[in-house]
Amino acid sequence: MERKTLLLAEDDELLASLLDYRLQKGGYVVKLCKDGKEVKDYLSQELPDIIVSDIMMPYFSGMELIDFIRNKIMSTIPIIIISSAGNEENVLNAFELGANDFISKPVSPSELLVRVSRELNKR
Amino acid sequence: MKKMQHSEASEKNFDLQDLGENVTIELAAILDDCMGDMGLLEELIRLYKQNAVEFIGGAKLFINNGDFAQLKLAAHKIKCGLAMMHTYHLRDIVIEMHEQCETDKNLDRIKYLNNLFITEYLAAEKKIDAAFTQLGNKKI
Repeated sequence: MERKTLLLAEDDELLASLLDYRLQKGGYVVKLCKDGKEVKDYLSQELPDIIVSDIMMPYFSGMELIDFIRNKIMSTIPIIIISSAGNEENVLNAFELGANDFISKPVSPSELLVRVSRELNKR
Repeated sequence: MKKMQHSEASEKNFDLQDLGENVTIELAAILDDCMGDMGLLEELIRLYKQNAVEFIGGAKLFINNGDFAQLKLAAHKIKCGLAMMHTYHLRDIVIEMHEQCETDKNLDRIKYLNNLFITEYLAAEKKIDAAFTQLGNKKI
């Protein structure tokens, strides 16, 4: 079976290391980007099957990323947003912009795997 | 072994005696997240320590400059890692620093919290190292 490609946009190296490891073990090809510049560079070359992104990132926020995907690239690929507790307003804005799901920090890798799989199965 | 309860430090009036002294660091749950990979757990601990040292260094500078915006951002960024490693008492100190930067901007309180963070972090680091060694011995 073809492995799905996942873009993980997270500037917190600690969280990113754990999620990257678990997502790869879960069978995904993971492209890890630590800031918005890397995200834009990657997206200018290819589109992943799904995106998991932090809201607060240097250069290009998760909100800008959603806007870019939905309104510039005009893609409907699933986007799961990662956000800290207390950022409810940002989460609502993310949904309005077109995010498919949201998961709160600190992220449980097992929960993220379930949510990623669920979003991909919807397609 | 008792897991650390973050409610222990949820009171706003932090007192050194109330914090990490009685806290036990339990790494087994994190090792489960790492699917039993001790190498990954070791790397996560290294990154955790690196983040803490960077936060301490940055916070000192931002406090000296009265730069509440940068301090707030630094506090926001480290919160997740502190919770990931189950050091909730450190996370709660940082949450109050973050709130202080948004509201009162009471520099004396922020300095106090920062000193408290440094003291508690150093104690937590020792406990994490000890817990890691203990976990390694169990696996062997």
